[in-house]
Amino acid sequence: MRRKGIGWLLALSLLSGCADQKILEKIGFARTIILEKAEGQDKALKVTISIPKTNQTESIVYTDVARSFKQAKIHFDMQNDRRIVLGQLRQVMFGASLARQGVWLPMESVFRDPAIGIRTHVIVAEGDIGRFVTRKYVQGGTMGEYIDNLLRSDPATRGQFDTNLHTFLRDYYDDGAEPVATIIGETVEGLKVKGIALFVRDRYVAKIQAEDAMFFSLLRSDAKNVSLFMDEVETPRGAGSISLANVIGKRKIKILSPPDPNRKKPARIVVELKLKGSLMEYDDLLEMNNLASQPVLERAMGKYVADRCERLIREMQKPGADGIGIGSHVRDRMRYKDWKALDWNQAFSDAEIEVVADIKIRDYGRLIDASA
Amino acid sequence: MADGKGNDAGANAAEKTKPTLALVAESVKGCADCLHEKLAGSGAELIYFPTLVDLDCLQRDLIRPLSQASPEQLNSLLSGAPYRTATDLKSCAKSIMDGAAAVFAGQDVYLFDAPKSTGRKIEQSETETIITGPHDGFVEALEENLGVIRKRIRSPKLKSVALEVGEVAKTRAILLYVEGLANEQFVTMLTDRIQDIEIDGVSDANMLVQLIDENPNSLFPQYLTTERPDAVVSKLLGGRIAVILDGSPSVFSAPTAFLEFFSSPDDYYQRWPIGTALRILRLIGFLITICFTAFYVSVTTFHYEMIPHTMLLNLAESRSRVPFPPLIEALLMETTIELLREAGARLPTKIGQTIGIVGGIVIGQAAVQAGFTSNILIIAVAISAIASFVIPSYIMSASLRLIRFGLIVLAGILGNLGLIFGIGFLVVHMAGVTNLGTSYLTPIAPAKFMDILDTLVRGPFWALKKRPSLSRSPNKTRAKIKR
Repeated sequence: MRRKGIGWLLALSLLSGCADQKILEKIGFARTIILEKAEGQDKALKVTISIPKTNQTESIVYTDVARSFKQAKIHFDMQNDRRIVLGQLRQVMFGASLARQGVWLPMESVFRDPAIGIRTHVIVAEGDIGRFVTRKYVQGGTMGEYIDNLLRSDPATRGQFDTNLHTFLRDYYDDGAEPVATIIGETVEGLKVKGIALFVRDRYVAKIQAEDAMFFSLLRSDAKNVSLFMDEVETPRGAGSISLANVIGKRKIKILSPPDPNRKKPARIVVELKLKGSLMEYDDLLEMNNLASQPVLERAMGKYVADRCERLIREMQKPGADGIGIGSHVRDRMRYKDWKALDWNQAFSDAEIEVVADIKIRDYGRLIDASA
Repeated sequence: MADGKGNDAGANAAEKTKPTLALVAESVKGCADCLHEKLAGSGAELIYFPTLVDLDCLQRDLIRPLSQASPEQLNSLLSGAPYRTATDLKSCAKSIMDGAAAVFAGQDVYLFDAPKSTGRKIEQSETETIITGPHDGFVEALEENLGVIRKRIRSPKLKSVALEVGEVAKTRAILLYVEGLANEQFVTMLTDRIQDIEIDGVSDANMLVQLIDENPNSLFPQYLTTERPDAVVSKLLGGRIAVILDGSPSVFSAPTAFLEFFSSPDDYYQRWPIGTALRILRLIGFLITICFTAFYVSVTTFHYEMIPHTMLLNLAESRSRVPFPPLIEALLMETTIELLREAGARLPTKIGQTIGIVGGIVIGQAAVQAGFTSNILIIAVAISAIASFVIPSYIMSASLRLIRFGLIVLAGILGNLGLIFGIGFLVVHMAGVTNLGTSYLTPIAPAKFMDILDTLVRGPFWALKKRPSLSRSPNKTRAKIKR
């Protein structure tokens, strides 16, 4: 018995001579992969990778035009003094025009690499990406580090929904949801989150503006510490802007009736939002020192949030990109055969979706008496 | 004390030779330190070892009365206590070796017990120091050790069995247990095992336990040895059996489980949440000791993706100056640390400090600057070394340090797979180890929830109502406290 165990141990140690060693100082860790359409060439990709140097302020950048990422990587390996590995990848960045064509084929090998963890963000970049990697940033560090920190501190994406490789692929494979990615663009000072890219399968089809990203996050999952800014809340005393902070709440998707393509009846769906937050800023809309006026304000805010969310959903319905995952709820209410036969993207476009928002003010601190 | 007499009875059953002056003198012939003298007044002759007897006592209670007596008075004087009659040559010779003087009055032989107490006084144990709690530790003298235990358990239920170890050395050993609490089967089992040892001599309890354990080839110690009387007392009250060996400051108890090596008497003197935290800290120390350097090796060799990005760049920079692969680097550093430790342990304290300074400078600074090793490895090796000293039992900590080398090699060859493989192999091995037939992994396998309260954690006293199931005690209730 013991001899057998030792035998196994020996066998395992001896047979592992062909182990895939990746000794730390002999490898270069790519932090960013950028894929763009090559200008004027059909089926060709412009691949750029950035490998941070150990001094943490510079990075090595390689660019190549190739048929696929793997081919480009072979070219990079020919130049780099260390073997290039992807286990510390932090961003996969697609040029907007490539993203509109579809991102799956060029990146399949990266998507399937088991070494890549969930900290990799999927990004759609607007503008001249070539400049992004070479530019110096006042925020310090290299582009890769900057974007990584930026996306993790961005209030819309922070904690609400992560546009990382894991969620991207999960939604890609889920037939009841469509993937989303963060859009990044350039400003004078640096880079900026410009919105959220909606995908259908692997194609980038529509953009949600950065201002709407918060409301999108409310629709996509339960709210955890969101800040909401409402610019035009209609109240009996007039319109004004309100800012709610530390909003927590639940999102509930109610399927009133699933779609029935045979009878040409669209799905009827209600998205219920129950939110609670601290009132941080408000125009003097109502006399808040009056207890009775608080429910009025809450109702007004509820209507505003519901309207804005409905408008967002209409935008998503146009290309049929179900970025908030309503499909998975509809799927639960249908028979498998019917769901299989259904074209959910089309059904989503046709669906009647209503948003109901119930907002409560948790606290509002000291308020200045308007009439005083 | 029941020692000595029990064995006399056993010897009586065998052949009996009446001791005579000639025979006894013959048996101690060649021992230059043996004294043979004839008393002037009574004409009695004495044979004794001045090195073994208390000379003051001998002078006062034997030599002076006998010198003043006439030969006729001699037999009546010697017939009562504290003198006893020797009837058997073997036991007579043995008594002399135990520190008795043999008195030859005509045909009769009497013995006078005046053993000298030698050795150091009771003082704090050097290997198991604690902050709060009793500070006395066992010494080499068996009587002293038995005395401090008897003082703590003042009950005639504390039974002792006198045993003898070593065919030549005939070292005395005493097996202790509390009647009604200890499992009688274990008592017989342990007694038989100790009696069955056939070896020239045993010089320490830690050596004795290796002669009676069930897995002589295992890396793990299977009996808990301690130098602390309070620890032994709590084991005895928990229904365990303890054995004291003369000449050894370590006392061992049985049956023992793996996790007992991680508890210290301190745990019970602290408030229970602190005791629990300390226990958990030691278990973390255990994991760090065996795994941390191995994990460094596996991560730097195979799993670069597991390292946080910021640290990775530093690590890669530091590693890039090192000419060896991580496995060789780690083995070199671990060997250096072990060399330092061993050198420090052998040297006198005053020179030992020099070793500390030399080691600190060589390992801490120069090795990194010379590009001999990476600075993160220094941290890993140092933390593993510190963690190994958190474990209260020195014997266990030495075992774990050796296991660490095996895991480092496995991690260097197979990465995390090898590390997990090695740990799995350890667990399988430990699950097979037994002590007096009980499982070494109790209370994890077999799972005993009530025992976990007193092993992995140190539960509050109101929760510790049962004796540990390991001791298979006939009396299971330890406390009747209500919350």
